[in-house]
Amino acid sequence: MTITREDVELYLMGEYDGDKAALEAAIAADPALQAMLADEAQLEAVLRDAGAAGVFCVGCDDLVGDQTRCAACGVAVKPGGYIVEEVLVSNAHGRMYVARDADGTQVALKELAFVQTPARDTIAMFEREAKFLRALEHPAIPRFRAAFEEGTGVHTRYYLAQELVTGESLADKLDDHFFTEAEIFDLGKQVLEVLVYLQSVSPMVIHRDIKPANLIAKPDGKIAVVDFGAAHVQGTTAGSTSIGTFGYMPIEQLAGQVDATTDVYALGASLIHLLSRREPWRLLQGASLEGINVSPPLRDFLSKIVATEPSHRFPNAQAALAGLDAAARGDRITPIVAPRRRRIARPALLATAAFGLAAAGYGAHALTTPAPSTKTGYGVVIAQFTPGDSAGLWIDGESYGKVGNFFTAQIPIGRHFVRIGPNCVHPIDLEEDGDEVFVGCNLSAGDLLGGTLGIEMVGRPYGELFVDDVLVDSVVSSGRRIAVPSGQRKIRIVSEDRSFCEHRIEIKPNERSDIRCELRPAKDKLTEVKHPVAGKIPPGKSIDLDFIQIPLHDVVRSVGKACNLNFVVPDRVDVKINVALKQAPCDQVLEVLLESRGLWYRYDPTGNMILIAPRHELDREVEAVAWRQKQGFVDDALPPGQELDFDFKNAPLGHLLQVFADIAGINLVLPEQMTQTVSVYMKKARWDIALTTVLEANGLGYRYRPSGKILRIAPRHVLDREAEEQQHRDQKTK
Amino acid sequence: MTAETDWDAAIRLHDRRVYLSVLALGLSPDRAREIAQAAWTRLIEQHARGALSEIELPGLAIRQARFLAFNELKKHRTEQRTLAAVPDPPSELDSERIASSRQQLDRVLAALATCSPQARKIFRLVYATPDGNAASAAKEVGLSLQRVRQILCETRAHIRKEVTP
Repeated sequence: MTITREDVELYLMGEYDGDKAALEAAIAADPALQAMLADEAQLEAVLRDAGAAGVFCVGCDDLVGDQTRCAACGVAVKPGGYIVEEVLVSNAHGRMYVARDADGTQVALKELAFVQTPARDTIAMFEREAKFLRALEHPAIPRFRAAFEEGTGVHTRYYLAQELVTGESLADKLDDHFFTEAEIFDLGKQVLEVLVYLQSVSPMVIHRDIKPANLIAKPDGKIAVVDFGAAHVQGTTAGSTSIGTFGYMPIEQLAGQVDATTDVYALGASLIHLLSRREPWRLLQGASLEGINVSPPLRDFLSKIVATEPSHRFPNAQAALAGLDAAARGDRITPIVAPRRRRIARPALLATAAFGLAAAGYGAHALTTPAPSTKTGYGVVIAQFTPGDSAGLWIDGESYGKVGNFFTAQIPIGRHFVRIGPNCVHPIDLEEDGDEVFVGCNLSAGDLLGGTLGIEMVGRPYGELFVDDVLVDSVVSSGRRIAVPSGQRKIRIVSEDRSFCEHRIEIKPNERSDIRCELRPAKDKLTEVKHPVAGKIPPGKSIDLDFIQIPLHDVVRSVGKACNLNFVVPDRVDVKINVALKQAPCDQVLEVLLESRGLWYRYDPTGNMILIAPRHELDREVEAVAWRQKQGFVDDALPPGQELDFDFKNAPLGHLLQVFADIAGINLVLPEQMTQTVSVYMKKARWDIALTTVLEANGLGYRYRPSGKILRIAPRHVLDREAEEQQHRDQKTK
Repeated sequence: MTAETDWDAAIRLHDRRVYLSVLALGLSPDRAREIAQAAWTRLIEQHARGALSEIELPGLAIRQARFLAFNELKKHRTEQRTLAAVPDPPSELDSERIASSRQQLDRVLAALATCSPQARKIFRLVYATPDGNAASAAKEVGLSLQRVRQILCETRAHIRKEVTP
């Protein structure tokens, strides 16, 4: 038997898989092996001592010795006598640890970190959370253990020790679990009971951040409500600090207004998310709860709990709990909405279903941006068609798939365009909350007259298809065949870089016509141009950064806070950052961070505003700005607005722009599709500069009509094209 | 320490360390195991008699085991007329030996700090975790058992190289 040193090592470690007796016999027979064994045993003993004596960082396994914090990743070692065992969450604001106290009990230890000496309001917020938790006593709320601070100045860390709630958040559970209606009733009841308790203490406590991620399903099936960091005691906080999570918070919470309906609304949005598996802001912004397959009583309950108008919701958690109990018994809830007015969409469109009007429908489609309205609420569209049992339905370009006769959809009030089948389009106006509008289509041969358009793209793979200047398809590519109304048509395909092709073609009924679209560059490349507002970031003060695997927008937020800079970061810039810098100037920090990820910034000194984007996008935007200047296109002047304090992460762009409009008191018209999200951090930022930067970050521009105070937002290339065409028309007129 | 279960827990936790300290003196694995067991038995007896005012583990058990091992070696080598080659066991902890052990420990920790993060993690999971072994470490880091054992052997080789004068 041949014995190697590795065999001896594994034997001493207790990891030897071979015949131990044979190994021991071989060692006993060979003095050299005995010496090797003694030698390795000595090392093994020292390694075990080292294992016992060494203090390892649980974040990165670096040896931390007697340091209080890991020098490599910043994870605490033994704060306040709690031995850190695991890092649960790590972000720019701090960490959440699993730690063990002196008695051996595991606790959740929340750590707040700062890149500069913490401000008084930050400390106040932390102390408030500690105070809440100390005072609250409910089995579904983690029990308070201790609150303490360590370090000084920039190294200050605040800690909050709470009962460790083991389980899975409902957000995580959603990944591999489909919630049933019975489960939703149970979850709703449990959380509402907690909210009833919070609303019964004096003064009333409002959690302000109820969402699936903050609802923990414990192994025994009970739900715990965690993270009271955003909690608010009624009557204590002045101002309009917006705290919460988009989609889960009611619209008035954006303006800092919270009351007894706030958490109840957030619970409703959470339940809808769990049922529909769609982020609630998408669902609530768009159509309705129609897509959720639940019983009518639960649907009524959910509709009421998330009503846009606070007065239409359950007034408090107790009432919502009674409503939920009623729904569980199968009782229908009478929605508190304005009386419905049932109308029929313009009969003229129905009666004349020939192609000329179908084309008019296309024309109307261009106006798919809802008319500016200050009203809020939902109306119902009821679709009816003949012949056939099913037909495709689109509302404002969004497909609802094949639907049956009398399909109903709940959509926000305002102007919408409903298309049934390939060619029947109706504009509808939902004027009041609760309006019902019938849309009827005769899908007989007359409606279906039209041809198909075959497309071959050269030069660019994708583009937007316009028929008679109406956007018909936002993504066309080679090989696509599109149904187009018959007649003389203007076909235009515009690529992302604003290059385009244009054809005038006769579309014959039931025939195929083909076009070859060669996308030429629209503008000559303009070199050596400079963005009109680009500047250099002032060096600012020196800051410490200590982050590992933190999303860029969290890091940027910290830098913004420390360096008094305003930031806009589109969320398509989705990178994580590792950084450990000590006493580095603000500008250097930012440049190094961005450069390392192929990103760059544009700094507008007037508004102290920084836009972060991929470097090539910023370069392209500089060219586009120069081209616009050359063409003589000038942005409309915006009205002055108040200074903004925004701190939003992954905010849906549409909602954010709505907040901008509300603050300035202007009307807003948004494009049909707005799926982008954006993170912003602003303190005392100029309204107009903040708005234009947010728009630029997402490839958008605007037109402003001061007479009607109407701000129309549209993709930059669309506005450029319109400006070009206007210029062309003006020249023709001359 | 009062209950029998406490001794069971202590033995489970420290027995391997005690065994290794005896093995490092050059005894055979069988004999080393017997001596380690004998050391624990003596400690339990002394504790039951109330003869132990302070119990510091695993130091006390290691000292006891080494004392027994030295006696064993003395006896064995007396028979072989080689008594002079065997040093007397230190009766008490001398400061020089403690300082030497401390230095060696520091050298090991310094060598460990230069290993890869993955190697350090595996080392922590095996040597600094109660009941740690290669199998549990493999599960934790998502590697095969063979790879984890290989990394452990590489780490040992690296440390050996760094600490050997």
